[in-house]
Amino acid sequence: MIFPAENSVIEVCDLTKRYGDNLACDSINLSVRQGTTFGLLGPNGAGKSTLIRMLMALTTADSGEIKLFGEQGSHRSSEMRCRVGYVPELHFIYRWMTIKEVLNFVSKLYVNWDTDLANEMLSKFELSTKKRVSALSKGMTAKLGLIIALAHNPDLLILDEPTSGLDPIIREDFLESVLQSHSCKGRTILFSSHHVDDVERVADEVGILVNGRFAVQGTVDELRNRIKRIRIVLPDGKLPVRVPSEAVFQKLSRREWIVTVDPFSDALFENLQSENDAVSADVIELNLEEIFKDVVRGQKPQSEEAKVD
Amino acid sequence: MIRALIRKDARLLRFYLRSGITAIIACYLVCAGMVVMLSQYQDAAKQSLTSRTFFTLAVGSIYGIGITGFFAALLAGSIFTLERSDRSAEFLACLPPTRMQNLVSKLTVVLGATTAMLALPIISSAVANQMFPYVQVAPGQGNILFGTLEWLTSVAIIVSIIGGAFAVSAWLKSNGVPILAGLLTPLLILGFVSMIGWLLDIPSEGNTFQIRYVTSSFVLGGAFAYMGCYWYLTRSDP
Repeated sequence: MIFPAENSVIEVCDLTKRYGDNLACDSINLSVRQGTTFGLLGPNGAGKSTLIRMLMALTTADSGEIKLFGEQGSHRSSEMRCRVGYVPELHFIYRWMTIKEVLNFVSKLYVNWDTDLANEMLSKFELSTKKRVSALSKGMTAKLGLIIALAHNPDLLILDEPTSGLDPIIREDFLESVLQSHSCKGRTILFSSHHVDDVERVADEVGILVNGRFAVQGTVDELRNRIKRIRIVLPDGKLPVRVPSEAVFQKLSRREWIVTVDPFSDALFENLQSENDAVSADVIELNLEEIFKDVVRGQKPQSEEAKVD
Repeated sequence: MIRALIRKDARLLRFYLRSGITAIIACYLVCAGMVVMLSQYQDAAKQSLTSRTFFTLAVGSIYGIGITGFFAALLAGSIFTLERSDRSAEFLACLPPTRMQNLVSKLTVVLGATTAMLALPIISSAVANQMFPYVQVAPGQGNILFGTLEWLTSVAIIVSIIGGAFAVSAWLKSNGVPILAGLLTPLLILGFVSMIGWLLDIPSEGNTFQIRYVTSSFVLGGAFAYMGCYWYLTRSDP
């Protein structure tokens, strides 16, 4: 169990959600401190969207506890909702409204709506207010969603795979705006994606969710220092003596044994080298994408790649 | 905030609202046309303007109530489901209004629109009642006038329609079944009241059966509406 920090904006404790036999979230613990950008990484079906839907009270948890700004419960108060901006992967903004009507409607619901900021973003994104939502492309709808989420200056911004399916230029504009909003206001951001480069660009802390559980959590630098790949060339006809308990993923190809370990230590490296009579050995630094791939592959029990031949 | 929600909900149902108002006005126009056409075959004394106006208002109010009942089912059966079917309920759920505020807005729109639609038949019936002593009608034609009990029965039927449609729509994603449920509710209550009367051997002299039906419709319609509100407020999904 993670004990929440004093100034945690999001606190999640032992959160579990099942859909029939499928365990979407399995005793998840999460604490996101104020002012942090937390990147939620995970493959498709890892439970990211379910976790976010529970945070947004769009669905209820089977067990566990969620607190946003210290407020508990699945039914959020109006004041608390005003402090949260949410950008989903799929937007369900009223399709029969024009952009102007949507913004007009939404502006009356938020006490701290910033019309100047909304107008500034509208012109930046080159959105015509006369257009109906039903006539907008996916990218334009995502931009409108971001305006709605940001123009009331939320203390917490939750983004659920917001760049999924967007072309590189719109994706760039989108991330730029998210980064700008973070640097200007110092707000807390929870950013979910399976685009590792997007997360790496915006996140201070990262959690990799696999099979409904956090496989690893930490700052990007922490993960890079902690998770490393060891490559050992074994003598002819020999197999690895043992798989270390720190291994998150391993692959044996002919004489080359690659094992990704968490946490890495010099002692572990030397041990593996000596006990396997390594012909040669080296340590490979990993970027976030490689860490993500190894962690995800390592969590798949049936994965052919993870098997030692 | 509530005003913005009410405006949004009224716009959400704008097709039904416009259609309902058009249908009621069209109903009076059709009645007027029929009265003019039929008066060609009546004797001269019955063709006076007062007489034609009386029949138009009295007959129009009867059909107007029927149309109001039908549109009440459309409105109450669609107020939750339209937003669920296109998933805009999820968008709304992430905005500041609470479920209770959304419910208040939806109830206001459905009840307000139904009352507004019912206003024309009520007013026209009241005017027809005032005109009755001054028109010449054939024996039995005075039955087209509505008294207090007839009006109470009409309102009770509309309450039961709204209650039935509301309760079922709190569960579902499309509006077909809730609308049908709303339209069937008065018949179910009628069957229920008849069955209870038969089982308990309650006499149905004079208008006692009608009074029992009106009371049951108000009570059960209100109970169904309350259940719909409760389910809407407590369900986990938007």
